[in-house]
Amino acid sequence: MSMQAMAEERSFAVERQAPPYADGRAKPLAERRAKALDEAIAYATDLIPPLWPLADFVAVNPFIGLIDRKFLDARAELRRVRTCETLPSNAWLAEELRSGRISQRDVEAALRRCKRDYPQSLRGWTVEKADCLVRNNSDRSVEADRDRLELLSERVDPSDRSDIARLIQDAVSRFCAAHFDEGQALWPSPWKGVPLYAAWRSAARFDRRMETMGVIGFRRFVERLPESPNDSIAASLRILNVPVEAWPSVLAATLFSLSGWASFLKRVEADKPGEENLLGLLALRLAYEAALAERHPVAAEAWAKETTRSHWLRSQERHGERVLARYVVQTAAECALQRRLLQQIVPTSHVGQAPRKRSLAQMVFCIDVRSETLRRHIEACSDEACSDEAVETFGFAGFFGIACRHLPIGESDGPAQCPALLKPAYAAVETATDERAERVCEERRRAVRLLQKVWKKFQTSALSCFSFVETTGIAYAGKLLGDSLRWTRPAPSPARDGVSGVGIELRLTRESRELTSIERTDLAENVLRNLGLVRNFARFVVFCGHGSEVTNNPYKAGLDCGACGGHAGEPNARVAASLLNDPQVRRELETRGIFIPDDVRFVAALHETVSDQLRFFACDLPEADRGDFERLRSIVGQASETTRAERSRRTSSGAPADALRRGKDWSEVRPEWGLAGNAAFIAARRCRTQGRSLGTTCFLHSYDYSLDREERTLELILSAPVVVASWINLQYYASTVDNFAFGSGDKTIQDVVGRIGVLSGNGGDLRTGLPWQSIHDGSELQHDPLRLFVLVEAPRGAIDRTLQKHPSVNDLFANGWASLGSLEGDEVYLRSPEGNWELRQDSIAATAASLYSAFRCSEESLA
Amino acid sequence: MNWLQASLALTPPVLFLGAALVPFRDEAHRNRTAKRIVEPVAALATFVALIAVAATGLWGPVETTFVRLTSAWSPGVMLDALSATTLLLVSFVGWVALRFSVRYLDGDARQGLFLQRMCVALGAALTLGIARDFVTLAVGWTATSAALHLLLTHFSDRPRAIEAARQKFLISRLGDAFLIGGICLTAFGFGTVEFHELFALAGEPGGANSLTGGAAFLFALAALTKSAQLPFHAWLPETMEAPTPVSALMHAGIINAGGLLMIRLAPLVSLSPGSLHLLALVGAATAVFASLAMATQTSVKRSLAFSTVAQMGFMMLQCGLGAFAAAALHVVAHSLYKAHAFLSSGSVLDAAARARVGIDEKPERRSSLPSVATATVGATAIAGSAIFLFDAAAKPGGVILYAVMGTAIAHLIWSALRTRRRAVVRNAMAIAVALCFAYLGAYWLADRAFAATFSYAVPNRSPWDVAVIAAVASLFIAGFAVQTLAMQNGDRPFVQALYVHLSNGFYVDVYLRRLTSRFRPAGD
Repeated sequence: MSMQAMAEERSFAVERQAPPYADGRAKPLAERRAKALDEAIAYATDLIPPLWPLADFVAVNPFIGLIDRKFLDARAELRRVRTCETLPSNAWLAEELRSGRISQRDVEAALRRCKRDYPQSLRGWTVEKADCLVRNNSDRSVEADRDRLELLSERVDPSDRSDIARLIQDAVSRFCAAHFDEGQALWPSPWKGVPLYAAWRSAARFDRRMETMGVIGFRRFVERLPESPNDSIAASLRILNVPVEAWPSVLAATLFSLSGWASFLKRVEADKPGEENLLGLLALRLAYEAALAERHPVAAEAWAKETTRSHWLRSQERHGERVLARYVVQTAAECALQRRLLQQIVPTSHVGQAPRKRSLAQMVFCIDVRSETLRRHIEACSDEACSDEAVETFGFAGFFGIACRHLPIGESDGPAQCPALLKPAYAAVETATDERAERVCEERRRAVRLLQKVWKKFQTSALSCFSFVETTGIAYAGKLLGDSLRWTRPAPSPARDGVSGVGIELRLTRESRELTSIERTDLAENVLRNLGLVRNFARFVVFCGHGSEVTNNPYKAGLDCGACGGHAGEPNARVAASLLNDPQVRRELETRGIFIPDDVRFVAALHETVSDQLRFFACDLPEADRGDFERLRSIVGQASETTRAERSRRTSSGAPADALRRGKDWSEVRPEWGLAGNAAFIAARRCRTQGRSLGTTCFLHSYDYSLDREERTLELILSAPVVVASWINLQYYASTVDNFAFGSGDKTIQDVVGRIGVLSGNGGDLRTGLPWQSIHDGSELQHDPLRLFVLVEAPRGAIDRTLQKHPSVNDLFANGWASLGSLEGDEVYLRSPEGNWELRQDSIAATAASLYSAFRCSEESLA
Repeated sequence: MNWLQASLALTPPVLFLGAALVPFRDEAHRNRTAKRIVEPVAALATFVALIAVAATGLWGPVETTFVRLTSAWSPGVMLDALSATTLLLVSFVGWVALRFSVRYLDGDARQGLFLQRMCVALGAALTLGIARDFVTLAVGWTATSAALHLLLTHFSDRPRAIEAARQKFLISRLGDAFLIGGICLTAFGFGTVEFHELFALAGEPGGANSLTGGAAFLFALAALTKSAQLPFHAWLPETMEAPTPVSALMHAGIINAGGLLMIRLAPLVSLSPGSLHLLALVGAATAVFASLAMATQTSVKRSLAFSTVAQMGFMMLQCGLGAFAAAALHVVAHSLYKAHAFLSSGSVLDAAARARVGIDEKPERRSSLPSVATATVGATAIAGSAIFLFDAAAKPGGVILYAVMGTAIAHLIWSALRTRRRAVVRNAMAIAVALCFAYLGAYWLADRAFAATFSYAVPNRSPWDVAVIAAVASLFIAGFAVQTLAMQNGDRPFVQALYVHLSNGFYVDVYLRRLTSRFRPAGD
């Protein structure tokens, strides 16, 4: 211990004698402490990733606060304060080695790569060592090196043998649920309007739970706590007697004992920054610890002493051998994926010539990994159907560059239809065909909804719930029968309330005014330029949003379009199509160098991802277009069928028609596989991947460097879709490697709480991430835990220039949260963590080899 | 005919238990087999139960004994309106829950075991339903509980699941003790364990003595324990550690056992005013407490659990007031509703979106609200008095039940009026009228259907009856007052305190947890 630290230690020892809330300490010390406290709080809260509510559930990188650390350092740091695992299980890795999916050369390449990342830890390592350590190891021995800072509540046992830490977790979780409830409870918490910490203090005056559990005097204790969360944390730390250097770890561990709610509050902070809810959660959770410390001084003292163990203090990370071995093999698994993926890239010599004849259609799909299969089948079917009229497909973020809020008819607010990173600037307002019809619709919808509300009240109110059951209960026999046999839906979809049989259009507005034609043209131009579609327009240009039609599934938003903020992409597609069909916009575009022939029709569609059907929104096509459109429709219909057949291999029944049942079945926990399997992001011209089966592993973004002289599109791709893809990838990764910490557990015992999230079973913390059923089919994992491989068809220099502008994106690649490759002609360069580029030797094969592992499902279809 | 009807009664439980006993080679084989057979078996059982209901309707109730073991007990089955209804209800809910589980638990390594345990629970619950004597009833009663215990610990690696199952186990054994105590009392006191013998003996002049009273009291306690009534309710909201279909089955098919016992023993229980009063008071207190606690719950399944506690309380109140047919109707209606509510609990966001009104709720400009309101009040008055006059005099305590219905309808129309929209008010009134007819129709049907089951004399009125009815009425009035007034006055300390205590379920779960932790095996 340094001299200064010792002096500081002594001065705090003196101070510890002082009564907890007394004021008037030496000023410099107080200032130093205040600064240290702020830093510790910032440290703890920065580690927490945000969590979106169920209705807008989108993927979040659970390690978002750690991306400026190297992957393994982050792991060590996180595991000091949280029970979690961030590496794949040893069993999975060993199986990858045993099955031969990872070759010897992959391990060699991985070791080379890892050695540059962790030169000191891996000095002198050989391939055999890593291989051997993983093969001859079991997960149990890995568990043993788990060493986390435990909270005081996990140590003491106040009354009989009850688990006080769990009871506190339950109590806080229940309180948070009541505070942030979105209408589940008929009788809302009286303190909903005030910040969390103040609300908790008010409620704690009455709450006898802790005292019933044996923490006598808890209510009085809370009353004595300071009013501001910041002071309260300081007071609690003083009572707990935690030395300054351990504050960051203690606060982080405290917050992580309620990681789900902390994440939820992190998200709430964005809306209500003044309420300091996250800080409040930390303060109130820590207060329980402090209360226990007062009750159990001896245990508290022992605990406080232990927090100063050098292990808990932030220092140079050292990694165990087994951990390093697993890391090497995991990197090898990623190398293996890269190897297989690069074999799927079409060499320049095989790239077909651009079709001489005009294409029938150009269909734009979301970059989502589920699009690839349908895209491939549509292309294949169009080749078979009419060889002279092709259908081209594109990949683009599914919100089509239009960050808008979707306002259904009769509603003043609606979901944000854009990636979570953006704020919606526009509104897509539903309007009926004429003003009269609109008023009627609004009124009808309002009446339907109000009646529903009245009925709901009749059903749940203490005054009428008994009569509700007596009068309507018997009728539920019919509902049970209907829902079981899939004749009816348990709860009808709200989208058509009061507007059935009415034509609904979408009008794009900005701050409740119409867009000027310049603004409209700007939007339209952006879409086309970023898409790389500025000439050779086909007869139809189809914008395909996607959405998942499922029943009785609280995680619906997780299956919908992530680029649309966890909603179906229909509104964005329709707005984009109508923008580009606007004659005025087309005229303006002409002046900007984009000439769209008059016979080009832009059409919106929705790719329904459970059944892989495509629904077109094209009721107003001119007569002349009908014939061609019918041909397109039949090609797509055929492609849907073959896509279903391919995808059904991945489901337990294996029958293609089963996909049509899944979306309607109220008991189905795996309606579809969502983005399970995602492992790579390819931004390239479609011709570099066309005809090759990529399974559900790839986000495909269309990108043509030759059209992007200013590298603006490249910058956009690397800073937005790549980041979103990495969030998705790391969410799947984390939910797979440790579903207990990062996932939301078994779906069958989930309980939707406050209409915002789920609990597992009887209580506990709010769950984050993906349910176990979304990544595991019961016998094996359906998602391989691999970090994202980003491959961009652009020169290395261009990529470097872009990354320099976006340090946070650079962090992703430099610290091992994803890897990056550049495709230059037939050569592939991989970017090393330091930012150098190396040529991959075995880059691109002339023929496609077979794919397996992550490509499991599509391998046969290729044959 | 007797044998035919007896075999109709026996078939559903035998089918379910048979499905549970299908042999298997290994776990994978068991999963495959169970998945394939449970649904058809349950469908067949439901079909047979449907025939049993028809047969009972056509030919009336029968009792069949298979063999005469002792003078006190001959094993056999009974098929009357009550047991036929139970057969159909439990088989149907069983079919729904099993069909649901086939996909819902797909991929679970122990799905076969789970399905078979469900079948055991169903078979046991059905056995309880067709019992004509206490021995069969006790066997069904405890077997149901045992199977349920296994289902609740399906995720045996979850500490919360084990803890919750332990609480349930303890309460259930207490219930068993009450039941067995009651059975012993009747067996030694009356020398029989068969229901009809017992009813005949107890129904004789002078039968309503302390022995009858004691037995009825113990049975009432057993029923209150089984049906999660105060203060034995705390385990029920803690059973969410089991997969959703278990909750559906438990809340729809198993928790009713307490109510079923009371309805089955109506002739005995109605001889004991003390037991009736106990049922009425505990039931009413539970109904009021739990329906208010439900209003404070924030998670779907937990609020459904409190709702079940409340509904069971209301059912017990109906028993306590002597309205056994109404109680039977309530059991059936609640089971169907609650099974659906649990299984569709994943749709909560859809349902919430439907009741969300986005745009301002300003009233229509040109409105004829006053006249609508007048019409409403008139219609309510007519409907209310129709209900009220409907043989209110003949049924003791019926006043309370009708008043509850009247209040509910008034509440419905009132909240519709508050929206100040003609279309809503018009529809709500139509609904209100339909509900009144549904209510009257259902009661008329239940009265007729179960008339034969409850052929007993209406007990003499005593001053205590009035006191109990007054107490029940004031409990409800207090509950209504809290509901209507307290929620709007969130800033009053009294209301805040009440909110905190209610949302914590008055901490009963903590006491129960402390109690059960004493029974925890050492080293656990």
